Amino acid sequence: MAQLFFQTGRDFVAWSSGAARYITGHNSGSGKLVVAVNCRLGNLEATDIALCDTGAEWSVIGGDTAGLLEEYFGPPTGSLSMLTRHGTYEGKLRNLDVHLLADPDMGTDVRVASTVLVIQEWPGPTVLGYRGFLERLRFALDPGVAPDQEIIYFGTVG
Amino acid sequence: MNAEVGTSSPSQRRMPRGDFWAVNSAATTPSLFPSTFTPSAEFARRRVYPLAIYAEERQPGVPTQAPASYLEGMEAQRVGRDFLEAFIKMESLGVFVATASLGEIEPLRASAATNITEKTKKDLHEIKTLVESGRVREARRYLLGLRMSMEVRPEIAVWSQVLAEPVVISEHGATGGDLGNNTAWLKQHTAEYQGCWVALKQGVLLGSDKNRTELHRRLKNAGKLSGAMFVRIG
Repeated sequence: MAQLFFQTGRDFVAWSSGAARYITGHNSGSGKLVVAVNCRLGNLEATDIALCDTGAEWSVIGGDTAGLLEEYFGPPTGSLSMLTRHGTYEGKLRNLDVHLLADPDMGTDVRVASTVLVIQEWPGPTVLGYRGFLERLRFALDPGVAPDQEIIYFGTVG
Repeated sequence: MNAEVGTSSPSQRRMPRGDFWAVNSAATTPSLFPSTFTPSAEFARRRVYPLAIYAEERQPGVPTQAPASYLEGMEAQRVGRDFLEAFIKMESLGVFVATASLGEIEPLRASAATNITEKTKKDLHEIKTLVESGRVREARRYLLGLRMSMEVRPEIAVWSQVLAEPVVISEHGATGGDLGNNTAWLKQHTAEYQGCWVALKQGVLLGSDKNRTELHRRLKNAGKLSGAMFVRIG
């Protein structure tokens, strides 16, 4: 199990609780997923590859994926007009639990009680953005010394 | 007529604990509620809130006529939203409330309901505008202000929920699959599945489809959904 630790004097305190491989440069059709992570949306049995994007204001879920998650979403807000990299779209903010999944023998998953923007016509990939998701998550990217060694470390704050 | 507190005779001033009375200020109209009526806090809020707004409108900035003694140590010389809190706390103390006459109640309530709706619309518009322009922290502060003033209505509560900071919790196990083998599969087969969703598990293709819902349904029916990783290929 590989985790990151703070060092304070001679003491070490765990900085992360889980870690996993991440994917770089996957072409999802609507653009390249520069950093993509394996996650579980709601309590779906299957997992999803999502773009991890600190530059995105909100996490975004759209199209078919949103339809599968209806039972796991919280109540929606009124419609919002949001400017995205694919243009301006109407969407609604909703609460959703999203799990970042740790690889076997690399600590434990984290569950984020998050908020996502649901856009039915969204042409892009599932996005894990800053507001409502990354803003309270501790994470670090280790690109590794060779391809396919990329690791994302994650944990709770404090 | 203004909303007033405790302008009737001393015998009417004290009701059994838990009773809530509303009579006209001249104490000539029967109470709106029988003396045996014990309202819930929610009922008191719904009934009294319109009156508090009414008081605010009719006497902006002017103290109510509530004698301090009736408020049992609370600040009596306040109006507006604080008035509501005073009413609710008085209810629990068993102090009666004198207010508008029967004939004035319905128009009062209608007027107040309109005011609440208009206020809610304004709040919703403000929050939406802040969020759309990326000013989420300001939207959170705005909502906090509404919570502090007891103005959280259901439409507003939804915004409070979605704009709350996320909560991160460490789970007890690791449920990620074999991403390495799945990634290797993606690198080798991307060209063959352009425009499709694929489901992978331990580097093995479970299925593919242009429609994710259809692929999901198919795998579920086949009992292959658990542990599958869905990826869209460009």
